[in-house]
Amino acid sequence: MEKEAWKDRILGSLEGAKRAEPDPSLYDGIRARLNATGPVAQMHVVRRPYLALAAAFLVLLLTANIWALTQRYPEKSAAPNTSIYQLYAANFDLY
Amino acid sequence: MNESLLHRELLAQIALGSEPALKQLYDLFKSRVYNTALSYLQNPAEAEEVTQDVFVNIYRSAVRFEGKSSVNTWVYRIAVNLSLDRLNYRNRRKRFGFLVGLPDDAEQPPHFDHPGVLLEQKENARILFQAIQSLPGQQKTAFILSFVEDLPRQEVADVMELSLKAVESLLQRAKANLRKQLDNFFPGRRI
Repeated sequence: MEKEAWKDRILGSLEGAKRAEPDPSLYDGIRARLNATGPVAQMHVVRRPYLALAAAFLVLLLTANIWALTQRYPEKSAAPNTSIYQLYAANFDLY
Repeated sequence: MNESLLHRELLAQIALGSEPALKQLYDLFKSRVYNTALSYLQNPAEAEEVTQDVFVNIYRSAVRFEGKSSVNTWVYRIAVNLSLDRLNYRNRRKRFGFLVGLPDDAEQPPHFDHPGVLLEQKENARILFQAIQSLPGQQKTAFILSFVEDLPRQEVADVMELSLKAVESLLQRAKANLRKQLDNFFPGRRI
């Protein structure tokens, strides 16, 4: 009972509150940002450097994988040369 | 001139690039925007940054205002969205900072004292703001707009682009969740 009354007092504690006011010089900052060139794009990049890092890491990983695959299965050398087989057949003739 | 008409007129001038009109709109809306941002972020420096973002955003997107809602609703919507963006950014940064050991650039003070709250209510309001932080996004928005900004329910519904019934349901759930949260703050509770 006491607890519920206490909760009611907490929930009603904003009654009669006034709005908070920002610093009087805040508009100067807005004007400065409006006069600067491309602040939004710049801010976006600076705010999320870890996204750029993650993207760079993914690109690096992808490139390394493609390189590893091309090393393992080179296009030209993968196709067997029939003339070499014929040579082996001649050298190791079992019959 | 009617208040709503004045807002629209100012926005039309801002759309044409008028900075004096932006200053006039800023003077009319600065405390609503700042107070909303402060209620979400509970940090004056971050709330001022968001207030700046809101007015820069208004200046750049005034030309796209279609007049489907009032300017008041539109400005509140921008303030709410940018405050939530900032909260998400802060949470992401906290998680990422925890993983890679980055310092937290927006050190959160342990207690938030809203400057507009009556002196005799400061202690209770401090507890309430701590509990508000635990609410899910939509419940938090409905509660802040209704009880901190003191907007009529219909206006809250317009800002959130929900029905009146949905806002009332969100407020009910927000209050129930806050009551649950307040159990943790009750003086002399058993641990």
